[in-house]
Amino acid sequence: MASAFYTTDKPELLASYPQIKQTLKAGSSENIKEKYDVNQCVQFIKDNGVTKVALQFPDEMLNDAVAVTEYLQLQTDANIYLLADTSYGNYDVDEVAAQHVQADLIIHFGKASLTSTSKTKTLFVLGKMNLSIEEVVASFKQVFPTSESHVFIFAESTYVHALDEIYKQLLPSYPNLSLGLLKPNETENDRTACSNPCTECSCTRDTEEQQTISGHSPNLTTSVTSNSNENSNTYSTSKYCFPLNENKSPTEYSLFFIGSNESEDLKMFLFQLPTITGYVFDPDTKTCNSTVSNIKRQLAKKYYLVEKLKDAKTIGIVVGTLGMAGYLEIIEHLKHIISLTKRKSYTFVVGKINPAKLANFSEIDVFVVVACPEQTNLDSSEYFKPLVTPYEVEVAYNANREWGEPYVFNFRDLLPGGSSYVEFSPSTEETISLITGEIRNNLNENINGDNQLEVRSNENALSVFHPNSSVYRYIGSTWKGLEQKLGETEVTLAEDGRSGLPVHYSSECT
Amino acid sequence: MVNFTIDQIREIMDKKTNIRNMSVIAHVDPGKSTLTDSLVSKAGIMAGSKAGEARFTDTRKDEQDRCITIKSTAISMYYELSDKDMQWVEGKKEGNGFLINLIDSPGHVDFSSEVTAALRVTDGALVVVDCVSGVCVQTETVLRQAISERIRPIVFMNKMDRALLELQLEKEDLYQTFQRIVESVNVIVATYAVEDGPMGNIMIDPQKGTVGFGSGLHGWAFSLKQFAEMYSEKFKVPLPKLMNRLWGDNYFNPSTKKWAKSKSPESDRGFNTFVLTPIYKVFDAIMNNKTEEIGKLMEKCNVKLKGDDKDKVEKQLLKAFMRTWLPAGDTLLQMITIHLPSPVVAQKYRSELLYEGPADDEVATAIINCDKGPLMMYVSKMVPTSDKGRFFAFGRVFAGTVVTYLKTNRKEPGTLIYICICFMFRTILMMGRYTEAIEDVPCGNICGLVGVDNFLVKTGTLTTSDQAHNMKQMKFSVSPVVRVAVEAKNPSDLPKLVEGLKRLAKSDPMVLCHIEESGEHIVAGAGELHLEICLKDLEEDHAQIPIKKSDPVVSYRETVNEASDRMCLSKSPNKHNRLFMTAQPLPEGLSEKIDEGKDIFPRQDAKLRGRYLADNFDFDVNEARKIWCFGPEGTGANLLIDCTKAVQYLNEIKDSVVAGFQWASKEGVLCEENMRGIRFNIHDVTLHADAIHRGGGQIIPTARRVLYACQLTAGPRLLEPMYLVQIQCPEQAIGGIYGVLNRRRGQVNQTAHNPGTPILTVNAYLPVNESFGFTADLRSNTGGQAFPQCVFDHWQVFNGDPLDEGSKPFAVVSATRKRKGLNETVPLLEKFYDKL
Repeated sequence: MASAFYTTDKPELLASYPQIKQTLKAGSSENIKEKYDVNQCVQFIKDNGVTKVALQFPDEMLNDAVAVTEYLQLQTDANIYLLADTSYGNYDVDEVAAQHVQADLIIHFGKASLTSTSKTKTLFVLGKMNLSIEEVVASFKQVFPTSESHVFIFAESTYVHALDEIYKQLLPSYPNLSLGLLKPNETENDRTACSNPCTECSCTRDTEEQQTISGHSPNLTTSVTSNSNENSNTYSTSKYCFPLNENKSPTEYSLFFIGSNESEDLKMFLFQLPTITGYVFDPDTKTCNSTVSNIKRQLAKKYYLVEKLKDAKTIGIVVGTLGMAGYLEIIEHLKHIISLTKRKSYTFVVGKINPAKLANFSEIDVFVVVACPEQTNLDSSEYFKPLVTPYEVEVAYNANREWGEPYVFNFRDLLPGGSSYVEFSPSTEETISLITGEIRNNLNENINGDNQLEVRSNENALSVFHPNSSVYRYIGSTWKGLEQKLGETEVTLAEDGRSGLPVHYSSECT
Repeated sequence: MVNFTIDQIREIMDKKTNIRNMSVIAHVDPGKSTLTDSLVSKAGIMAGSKAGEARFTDTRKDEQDRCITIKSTAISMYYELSDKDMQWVEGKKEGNGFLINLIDSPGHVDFSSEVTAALRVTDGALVVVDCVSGVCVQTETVLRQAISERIRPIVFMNKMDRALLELQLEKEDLYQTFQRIVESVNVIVATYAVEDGPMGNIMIDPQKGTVGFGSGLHGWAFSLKQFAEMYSEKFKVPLPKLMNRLWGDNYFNPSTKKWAKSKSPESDRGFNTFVLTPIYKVFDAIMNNKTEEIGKLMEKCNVKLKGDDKDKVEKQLLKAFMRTWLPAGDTLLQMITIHLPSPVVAQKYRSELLYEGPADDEVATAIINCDKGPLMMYVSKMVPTSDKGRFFAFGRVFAGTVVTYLKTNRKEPGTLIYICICFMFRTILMMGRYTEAIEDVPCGNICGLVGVDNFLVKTGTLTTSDQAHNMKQMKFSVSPVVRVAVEAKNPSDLPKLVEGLKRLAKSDPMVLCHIEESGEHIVAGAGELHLEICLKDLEEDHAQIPIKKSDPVVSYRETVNEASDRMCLSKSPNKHNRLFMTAQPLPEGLSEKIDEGKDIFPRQDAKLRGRYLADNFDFDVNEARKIWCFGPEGTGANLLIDCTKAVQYLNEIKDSVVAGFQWASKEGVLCEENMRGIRFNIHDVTLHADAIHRGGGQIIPTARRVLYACQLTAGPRLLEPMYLVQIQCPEQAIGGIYGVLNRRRGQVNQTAHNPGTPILTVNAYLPVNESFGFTADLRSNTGGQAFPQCVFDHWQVFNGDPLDEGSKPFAVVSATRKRKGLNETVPLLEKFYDKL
């Protein structure tokens, strides 16, 4: 049962990750060392003198896991554990699983959200996918003929290793190029968030020290840092950070992205800068296409969810991470603002989120997913009730929060001290819903209204139902739970039930 | 200037028998607003010389520019009747002062909803007919609406000046024209009203004075009463008798001074002799500059022109002369006060149509008597204020009194529970372009409220009684079938767009604004013109951001045309539960019955419904009793029926299956449009023995999948909306009309001659999809002679298999899926259908 709880079905997995098969082939060759930067891992383990190391691989890289584990085991004295499965998602560090073996260090391979963990040291190995630098440079020159162009250039995390070289080659002819660097961590704000006395998180102040990203060459980082110091002007998205030319706004830039068109990194970037246009170089097909942006449509879809939230009375908070720093605070924060708007919230931990699990709670109107940025942005069309991000909850309920740029994916930015924090003030407007076409009930009125009094004024009521609690839905449902029907059922002899696997019971003919 | 004060009005408000609530209704363009001007000027609200040109009630700039009324506008006026005329007023009366609450309504079919909203709050209607073009389609529509709301009509024949000056009609011809109009109006009245109905006889009759004639543009009007008054003293004949003689087959022989019932060579019709002859003389004299004669006529008619008017010639002089001789305002006000009912009279017979609750409760009694009691007010529309985003709630007080700062309840449609308590901040009187604050408004009156707009969408009931039921919702004669998707040019303007859409939704009784799951913002209106106006308002007033609009979007319905060719099975995600179902089309006519909601509706007693379905639609009685639900939204025209026999735990998963059904029927498998006319049968269900493994999470998605499988195996089809088009045109244009209709997949079902005219009326069905640009196309193909009126009529199967590549429905499905941001091909059956 446990495995069914945590992993997805294989066919489903294959369907949702078309690139997996390809990756499987590529991984079987000798270049594993190179690809996973194994030597640096060894170095890191030795330098930090850790004894228990947990390795976390995404599903599509699991077939290389054995080779990597064996190599590390040989090269170091540390005990190497392989976290064979991810409970929430590939991007997120599974700290809880690592704690089962009390690991001192987690090495996370593959694409990562790069969000800090609350307790354990983490090494992110982004992995190095082959990339022909010449081709990238050539296509860049082709699509941006003028050297004056202001361009943001950045890459999917697996190609970041080559970015340095590309940047060097392009810089002479394109002085206005702006290189997007992965932000290693939240900085100043992070500390303030954690030093806030009312939060319970055990997150330590020196989070930065706990994390290292393999793949960035140090000299590059420094060169850019000095560069950005000169300009003192940067544009930063949730994951990337771009130096800006003086007196230029980000909207005046174009975009050059290395990676798949479907990449979450690209999507998130576009969400934050929806008007930008540019090109995507896909290393798999080695083609360069202009970004076909349906981002306006997607933003409109998100706004539909905001409307849905305003209509909602009962809200489920789904915990999609147990590792990311600040997840407890954001859950508390969400609970708090939901209760301030007189709505009722329930918190769920269901492991990896799928439609069947969430449909069990049909009393819930909307689910808020608390997870790392890459995994909050889920497509909810297959879900019975929509999934939203914490930011959308804020947009819906917080009168002080403005919709629009920048779109906040990282929930830590929403917390007090976060870069996008705004104080909460409940929006009191009473408007019509564009989804149902009806007036939204003024929830504030409702809670004190006679409506409730009628329900609960019956004798000796001990508990007071929250007006939006799921109990009301339960009262309205036709099925209220198992009935004992004592004495009504005839006594019969026990019969043989079905046996075999549910996919095909032994009593069934084909 | 204004010849009355608010205090005067307030005083008269309590004298309920002296109130007249009336609306002006008609086809597009016979001069309603122009005519209304005469009344407004009579009340001193605007200068008499401006009447006929200013169109005071067209308050919006675009209304003035386009010369078309878009929104209905209300105005309250005070008027005193002379003692002589008071005796004509039947029933109780208190003093000579009358309060007239008038609503000027638009004539274009696209704005019919405004007419409906106006009719709801009024008791009488002034039907304006262009005497040149006669009774038109829309005249019939609004008249029918009025009668079904129990509104008493009176008729005014406008544009007589054109008949005389342009068409130069002979007297007898003009009489015949009038007579035909009277007849055709009465035919409509007879069709929709019972003679001994609650309103009594509502046939119009010039002899009784319920028909007026004149010219709104020139500001003159008369009914037979005016002329009868002129002659009655001279002939020493009592007024009513003389009025009878002035219409119909009553011939006067000038030589013998005798009346006869039949025409003889010397005699002439009374109407022609006594009514038309003087008018013709005046026209003739003035238009031909016969100065001498003019002087004589002035004396005869007792017309004294003042100041500038004396120096005028021809048309201007004619106008001044006629206006002084037969002032339109007086005539109309007399007709209104004498022939239209007061609220006391009207609410007696209208109450049962207005109130949803029992006819004998406190509220109903108060409405019937138009008396003190709990406040009952129906808000029929919202009027934008100068304060951005706020609205006056405009409506009629049916019982009790609205007081400033009153605490009232808003009623949620369809429920008995009142939802919230709101405070009315101010009570106002609507005066066309202006509003006047007033302390309180008693029942029987029309007024506006400030401060309740946040509690109402478009319409609603306000009451102080928590026992009260709702006032009935209005039924519109048109429905919003033309839709466009709008998009903010700048994505960060999205909240402003949404805010604007909400305001737009309030400001118009008909327009529908909503967001679809795909993120599209849809605005739906009754027709192209309606939408154009709405979008303009949205861009300029409500949202104030640049907007991009898509081409018109038609909403389709998904249905099936045969029974499923196999038993469909889907397994739950954990493979422990199985649902076996089939789909089949609902019997013909049942979907419409469900829409109507009269004979068959969701909350009906299962046995009654079962009986009805078995008797009328050949349902198996047992199955018909086990209808689990309607869908989508619990009310749509799809049924989920339990056809199982003794299945364990079935009642346990009912909620989940119903939830899956609501989901699937809202978003069909073809292109996520609503389903319509499908019956789903649950044949068998295998469930896991442990409750934990057959929860909602397992069943809801599975129910949705199996329903999709059923739909795909039962010959899925698209339904498209069809317009009923009525086109009036001269005979020679008919070829062009047929051509255009053929090209646009239209089907002509009837072509009829309008008796006595060279005009043909063509009735045809036209797919809404093909109707964009239809009007323009039709005009260019008929030399501008044909005018179509399109009203949504029914859903029709779009011929062709939507799964067959190359068919028309296939193209529609692909386009719709693309617009919604879905994968362009319809998912395959294998995705939903599981093997055993």
